[in-house]
Amino acid sequence: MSTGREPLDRQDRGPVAEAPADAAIACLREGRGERHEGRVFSSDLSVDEAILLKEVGYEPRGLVMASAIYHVGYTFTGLGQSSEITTLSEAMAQARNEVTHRLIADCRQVGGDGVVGVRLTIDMFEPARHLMEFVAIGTAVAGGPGALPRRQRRPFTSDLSGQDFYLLQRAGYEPLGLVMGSCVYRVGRQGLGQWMGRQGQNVELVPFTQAFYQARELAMERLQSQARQLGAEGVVGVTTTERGHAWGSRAIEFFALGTAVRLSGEEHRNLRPTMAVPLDDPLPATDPRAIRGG
Amino acid sequence: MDDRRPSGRGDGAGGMVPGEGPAARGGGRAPEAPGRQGPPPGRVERGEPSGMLDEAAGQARAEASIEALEHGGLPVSARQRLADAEAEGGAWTSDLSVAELAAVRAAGFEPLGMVLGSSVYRIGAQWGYRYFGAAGGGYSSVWYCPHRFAHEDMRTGYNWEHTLHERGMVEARNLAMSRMAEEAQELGAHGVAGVRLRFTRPEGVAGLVEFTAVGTAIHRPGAPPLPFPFTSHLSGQELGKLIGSGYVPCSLVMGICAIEVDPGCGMEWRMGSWSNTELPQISEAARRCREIAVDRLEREAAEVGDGVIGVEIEFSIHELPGEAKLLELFSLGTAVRRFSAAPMPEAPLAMMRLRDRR
Repeated sequence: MSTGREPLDRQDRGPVAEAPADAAIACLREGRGERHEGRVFSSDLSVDEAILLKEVGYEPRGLVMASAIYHVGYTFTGLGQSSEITTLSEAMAQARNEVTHRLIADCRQVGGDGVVGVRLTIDMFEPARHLMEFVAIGTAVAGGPGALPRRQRRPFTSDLSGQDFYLLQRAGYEPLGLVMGSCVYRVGRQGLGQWMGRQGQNVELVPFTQAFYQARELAMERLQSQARQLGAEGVVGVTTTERGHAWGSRAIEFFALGTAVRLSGEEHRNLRPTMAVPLDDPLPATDPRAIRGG
Repeated sequence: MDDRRPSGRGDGAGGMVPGEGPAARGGGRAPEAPGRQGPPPGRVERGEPSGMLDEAAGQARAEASIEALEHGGLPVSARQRLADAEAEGGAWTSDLSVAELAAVRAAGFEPLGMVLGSSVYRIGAQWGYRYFGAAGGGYSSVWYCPHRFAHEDMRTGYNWEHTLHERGMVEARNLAMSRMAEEAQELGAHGVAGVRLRFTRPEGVAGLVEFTAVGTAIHRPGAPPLPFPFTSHLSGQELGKLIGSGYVPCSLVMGICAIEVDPGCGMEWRMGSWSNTELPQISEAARRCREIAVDRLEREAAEVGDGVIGVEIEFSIHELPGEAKLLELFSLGTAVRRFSAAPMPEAPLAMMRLRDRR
């Protein structure tokens, strides 16, 4: 990866001619300085994320958002047997794919090479009526060490923060995209006779254990197959969630989400971290609730 | 604010709310700030303890303050507070923590004093689209019945923007921010750090909102004055890191949008169906709501900076009578300009904290 600028191991960090504060005031007074060109961007990057992304050569291009409101209702599949509810699994996967596609389209529109810090959430719009809002929000960025070859490809998406992203690049990896797997599973009911017979005993409910195992395996398998399709070397930051959404106790969704990565250079670069005892107190972040008011 | 750009994004929805502008420029303030010309009305001599005024003097002060506020000035007590701070032997105040203060000073700035701006505002009611049309302008769309045959529950759906509400919010914010910026300018500040913009809906009166902006005015000793002090909602440390890495904050910017969804029968029908499908009417409203709000945020930013960082988004859905919903999006961030594209003087050190998780 020696295309363009090499911000990672840059040697020419020369002394700054002017104190930053004076340069800053001059910029505000006269508009002087190495300003961003093109479109005015918005981003939900924190200051730390913004300056770390700048350090690896990425420029923010804009806040990108996509949402889709779906009606995903419970489908009757019979009692007894535990089984996957494929129509629901497919509906959930389709809705998430749809918002990811819209996010990528939005990213292309603002001239981004990828989206960092993607938050993929589901809001219950009206739980009683199974209305779900699928939302994806992130910041489109352009540039970076691999800027030239990537422009020809599909923009990447990643749920990694700016800090994670910086470390990933320094360690010699590049993100390929978000990968996810979903499985909606219905846990079967046990018969009354079984239930009566087991009162007062400590027993493992083996069919339940097996059902949960299978649902998780299916979700992870789908995630892995998506990663294989992208040509990934691995998946970082996998999070798994189990939620009943609005289906009550009848069905549970097992959902796995992560970022597929692969080595961009020859091999992994060791960061050699320094041990440190911090002397600072944790700072409270701005509380959005205070802005919105009660 | 006369150089406002024409509205973009097609059907007139992306237009700027009138009276909107970057907060620091003081939307509600007359250009020559009459409150500052000549002796301010009802100015009280410095050193007079404010708690010991008799009733008549208190009345006079209140009247003078209202007079000043109406003409874009500051209330008497605020003026007196600033005069006290500037006078010989006056101490500066700040709501910066010790660590923030150290970071601000390390970045080359010095605190001047806490500054505040506030406005209590009543937002008018806007009547329904179904009966009055989009009287206030803004985004609207009509969702006809998809069945193409007459039936009892046939109902046309509407999505429409509450422009009066949006305008009111923007103006109240501008008043609070411009009063804060005026206080900062009075102190000779270059900027205001750690602005907290607070928005409350006091109980009792419908449509009443209060915007308050509080922050610490800072200046760079020896640097030439700025036409408008910068404002940012960043902490002292964040300000230090930002300036140290080649960005300077310009102004706190805001973008809001409120869209009411009056569902048509198409939506009802889809919700009752067994199939799992998308609901285009609300999807569209939510998408437009985000798009318009962020567009407004970027327009505010375009007047002062290169982009916005730290955007916080609050999206809420309020239930209205008769199945209708109000989607409201509130976004806030700090507009920045880049003055140096060079990387940091030294690459950040990778470190492992020897501290237990909290």
